[in-house]
Amino acid sequence: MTIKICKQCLVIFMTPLVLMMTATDAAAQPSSTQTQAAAFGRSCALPEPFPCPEARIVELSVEPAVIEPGESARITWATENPVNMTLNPTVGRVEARGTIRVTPSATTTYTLRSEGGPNGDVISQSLTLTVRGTQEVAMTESNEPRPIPRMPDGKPDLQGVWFGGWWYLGSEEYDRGGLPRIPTPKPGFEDLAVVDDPLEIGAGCKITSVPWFYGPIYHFQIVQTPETVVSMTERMHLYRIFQIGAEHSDDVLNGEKLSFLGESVAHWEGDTLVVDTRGFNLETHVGKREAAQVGGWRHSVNLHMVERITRISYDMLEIETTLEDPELFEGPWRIVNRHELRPEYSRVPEYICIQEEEFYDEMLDGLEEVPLPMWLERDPTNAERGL
Amino acid sequence: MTIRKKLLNQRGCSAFKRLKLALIFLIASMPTQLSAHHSTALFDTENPIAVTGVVEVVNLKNPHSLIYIIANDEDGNEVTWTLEAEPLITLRQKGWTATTLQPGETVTAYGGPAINGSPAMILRAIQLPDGRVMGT
Repeated sequence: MTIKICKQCLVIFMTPLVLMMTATDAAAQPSSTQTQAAAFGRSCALPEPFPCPEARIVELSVEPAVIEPGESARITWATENPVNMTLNPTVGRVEARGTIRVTPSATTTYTLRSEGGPNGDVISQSLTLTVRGTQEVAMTESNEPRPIPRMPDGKPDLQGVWFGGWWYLGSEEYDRGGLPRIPTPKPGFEDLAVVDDPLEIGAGCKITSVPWFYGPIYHFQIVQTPETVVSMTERMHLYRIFQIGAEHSDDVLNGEKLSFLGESVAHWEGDTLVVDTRGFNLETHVGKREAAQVGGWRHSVNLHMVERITRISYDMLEIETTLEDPELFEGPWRIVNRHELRPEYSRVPEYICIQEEEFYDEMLDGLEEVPLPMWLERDPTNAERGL
Repeated sequence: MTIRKKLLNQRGCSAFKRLKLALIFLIASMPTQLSAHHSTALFDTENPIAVTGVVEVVNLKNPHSLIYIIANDEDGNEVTWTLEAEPLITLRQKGWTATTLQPGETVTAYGGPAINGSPAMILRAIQLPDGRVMGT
């Protein structure tokens, strides 16, 4: 396959692409796999007659099966291709394989349930953990919600391992203040567009976009003290430090100290942790074309991000992110995401990134070099990189 | 690859990166299905194919997993297919373990083939020797 194109042609191509990016972002797209599955009218991203992966429960066990009051037991499960799987009562949403220690006060029957079974059915399997001298208490899924835990200082306890999940773009439920979910470049700055180079976005080992720190498909763990909240992200092993009550340094406010993650200061507003971040270098970009992930725009050193982090229920964290870059973009834009607790994780998983240039070389082989549009010709200066 | 070597010699790594940006930009302009995790513009995900072959290498890793299988082409020649699968973390969420796929096993891979005709695909599902189908 051979492609030849001139610089003028690229400019012609760019305008509809930017419009396409905007239009695509405006729609709800939890994930492209789901989108494609819907396009095929199936639960997987393959059309007929290809087989769809079906959920299966491989193992569900408890050890020991009988305990004395006050003792605990370990439940272990293993599944394949689970969808929205839960282990109840008390545990909640879980991933494909795991183990968790439980300490029921009375004999309890635990049920592992998953969507996506044969013919799209729900599959389930149960086991009973016997607590000597007790009667089994009937458990329903409509139990009272578990209270949001609090720290000794009375603040909500944000700690735990949370799943990045899919971004909730396009859902009115997450629409706050009618703000757009992606930035709109001001007139004259439309050529700030960047595209989804696989080496930089998905296949590369680099921090790429703001605010992609939390996922979307990876986990992050929050550790909290009265003075500091630390968010550690699985992808790229990023850690962000939110200093409670601190103020931005002059170097950051003057645009002289830049970094990939910027400088974050935080304060509490009621039960919400408000994190203010400035000082992003120019290696990252903002705004995303699909599911808040790929494509976007370059930004300036004045990019400003405010995150409002609230534990809205025992097992759900909400992060409302508002960004602005008045020099380049019209008004602020806002993204609201929700992240589920992963109770079986006691620590954020390890992530080792291995670059894939050779593989993409093969994919690109046969395509001819093309002149570059002007907006790709300029690299950030060392100062803009934060050096 | 020659293009890459040429660019590396002339302008350093960033020039090659820019070439890729431009190429991906072009391909992204085509009416292809886009991936959630990264661009799948290099693959025809709307017209998936099935490839049956023997597993040679299983490299489950981030940011994407790469699996190599050896299949026969129409002339009976052995061709090594590269299957790009989701990252290690996503496969783990689908129940994959280190032993789910073993070298030497005969499997059938389902996914979108490379647009440029390379023996490669973005893997959507794989059928194991015992008939189980694993999502990716």
